[in-house]
Amino acid sequence: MSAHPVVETRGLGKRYGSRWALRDCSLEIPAGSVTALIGPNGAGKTTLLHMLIGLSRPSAGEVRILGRSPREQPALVLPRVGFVAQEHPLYRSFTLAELLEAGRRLNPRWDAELATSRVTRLGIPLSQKVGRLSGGQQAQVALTLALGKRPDLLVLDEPVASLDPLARREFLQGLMEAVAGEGLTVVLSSHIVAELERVCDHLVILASGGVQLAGPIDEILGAHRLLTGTRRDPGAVARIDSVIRASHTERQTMLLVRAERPIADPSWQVDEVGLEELVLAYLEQQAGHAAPEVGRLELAS
Amino acid sequence: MIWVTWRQQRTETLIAALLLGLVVALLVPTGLHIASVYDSEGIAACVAKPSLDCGGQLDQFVSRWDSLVNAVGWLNLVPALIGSLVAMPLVLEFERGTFRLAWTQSVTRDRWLAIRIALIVGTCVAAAALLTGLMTWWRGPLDDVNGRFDGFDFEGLVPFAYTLFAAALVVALGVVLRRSAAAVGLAFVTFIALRVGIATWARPHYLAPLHETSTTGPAGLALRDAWVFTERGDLRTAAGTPVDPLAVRGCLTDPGAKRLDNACLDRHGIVETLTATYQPGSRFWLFQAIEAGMFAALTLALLAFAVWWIRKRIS
Amino acid sequence: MVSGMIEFRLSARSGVPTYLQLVQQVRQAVRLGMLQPGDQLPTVKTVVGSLAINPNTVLKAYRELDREGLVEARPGQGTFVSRALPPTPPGDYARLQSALLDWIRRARDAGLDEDDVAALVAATLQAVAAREAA
Repeated sequence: MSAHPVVETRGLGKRYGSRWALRDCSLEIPAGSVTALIGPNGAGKTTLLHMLIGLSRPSAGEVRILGRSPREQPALVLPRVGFVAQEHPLYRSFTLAELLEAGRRLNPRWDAELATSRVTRLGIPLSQKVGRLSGGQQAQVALTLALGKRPDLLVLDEPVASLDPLARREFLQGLMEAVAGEGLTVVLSSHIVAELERVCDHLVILASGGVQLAGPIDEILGAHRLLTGTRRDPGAVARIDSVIRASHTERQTMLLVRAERPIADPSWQVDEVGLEELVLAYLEQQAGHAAPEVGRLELAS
Repeated sequence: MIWVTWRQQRTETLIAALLLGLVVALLVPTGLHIASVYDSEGIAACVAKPSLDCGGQLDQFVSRWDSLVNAVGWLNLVPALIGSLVAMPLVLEFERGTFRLAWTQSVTRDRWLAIRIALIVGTCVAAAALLTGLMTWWRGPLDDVNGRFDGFDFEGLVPFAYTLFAAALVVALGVVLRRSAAAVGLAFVTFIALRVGIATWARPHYLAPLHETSTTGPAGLALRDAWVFTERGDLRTAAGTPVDPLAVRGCLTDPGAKRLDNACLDRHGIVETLTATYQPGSRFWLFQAIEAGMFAALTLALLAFAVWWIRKRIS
Repeated sequence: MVSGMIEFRLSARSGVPTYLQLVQQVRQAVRLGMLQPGDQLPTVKTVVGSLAINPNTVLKAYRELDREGLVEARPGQGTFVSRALPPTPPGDYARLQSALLDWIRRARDAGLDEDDVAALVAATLQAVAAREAA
């Protein structure tokens, strides 16, 4: 596994007219990681993903995939990146067999056996028209198309958004198998946090067109704590880097803080924070344009 | 990629083939019939040596096929239909979002676009070649009699240009609207408007028309191989000055009629002159080149716009 | 040699990290005799294929078990159980339980309720584990 990040962006931004949909995005995504790109709808997740794979031209900044620019050297980047767009577009009038054949003809590095055995194992008939398959099956087919070219990086835009729980589970099972088997790097976007926690080991929180937080999930959870104690001013707490969320009642103060060093103050009850709560806190902060400084954790890995 | 593209447009290709098949089924039997009548009535000999009696025979031959020619006139829509069918699959890629699938395989977007457009152009040219060849053969006897201008819309270079233009129109509208039905509908309306407009108002004037006057009546105008747009009849004295038609009321064959007795006119030294405004048949290819060139230029502009739009706005 | 002898089950609400749950379930399986020395643990691919979790989590669990000496990773072949965990002798078990009952009674007398007792036990276990890891 190469030590170089598979995805690198610096100051990446996209503008539509006078409105910046995405601004100043700087990320590094390490090889072999499964990264969740989380954010509310309209935060710029799709915009960012499209710039990663060269479907969209950045208005500012630069992006490197496997060391290359996807816009300037698409012939070198495309064969190594698999992509499933939102709503997994497919040629619905094709039979599954024909669609896999299309994959073979459009990709020099196509592994026909891998693709065919995958759909067979999933019980999807090769002679069926793709448009007649269920939503879950279509999502699996889209994933198969992306995996069939043996990519180094897989980018998925809301892959499980429209799937029922069973289909969602099966999709993630298949995805994890592929990661285990091929050493794939995965970036997937979602606006639902809960199911991603088991699957992802890295996180990027995108809100209001900017990166709010990025890094390995273990480190992030280790660096945030929930403090509960008697009512007091958040500014008075020592040894923390920033307060992400503060809530007060008459007698009690609860702070979600980012702190690199352990908090030894006995007047606080210190608890770990769950991923979902953490993400929500960061998103609330953006939504309310609250004052506390945002911890822009640049990810080290 | 070629295989994938053909498979994608399987339905449209079948419909186009069916359409062309219908055209063939219409034209071949009727064309053979026209040709056989042409032979059996010895029209060819008449065309070679025009004489007064023969002129009437020629007119009769041509007018015999009037209703058929009118029906065949509907085939003017075929280039638009073919162009739409050929261009539709490309528009569907944008309407359905499958371009995001196509552009993230291993073929680059530019190469993909180039190949798709090349295939559209190639298919249009092939279909137009079939249509033009067929129609030129069908109109053979008629063209021998009256020149090729009558069949201008179906022969020579313009059918290629029309078909390509229709396809380019659908592509350009389609990538902007991202709705194939609306694009095709709008393209049809634009196509018809432009074709009718140009044929009616522009085509007669590509080159300044010629005039020919004859004093011996219509037969004196040996304008067979020509596109005649106006014929004006005048009454003039032998000296060439105009004559008031009321003055020769006395020469009416009967009071209510509009026909004049030639003998009576002769006695008064009045001749009927006929002035025709026309384009000679020798200008056929020049006019073809001009009109085809116009539509070809429009085609290029539309395709360039579509490519620009795709590169700037969709990605 | 048959792999897939055991199946993992994850509890999302237990508060125990995923990899630890896997570790505990392997230990339990060995203790109860469902896994014997020489048996192969399910491959990473199999586990993630059924649980839909990140492969690194499984790797972390297997590494932890390897560190404890319970299993060993054989490169290119898989991960195999390397020793047995003898079940606690019934006598020891009874003695430990009665000592625990005494302690609980003392804690109750000191004013701790059920939750306090559980929290104290958990915190002490964590501290022990941290010290052992260091």
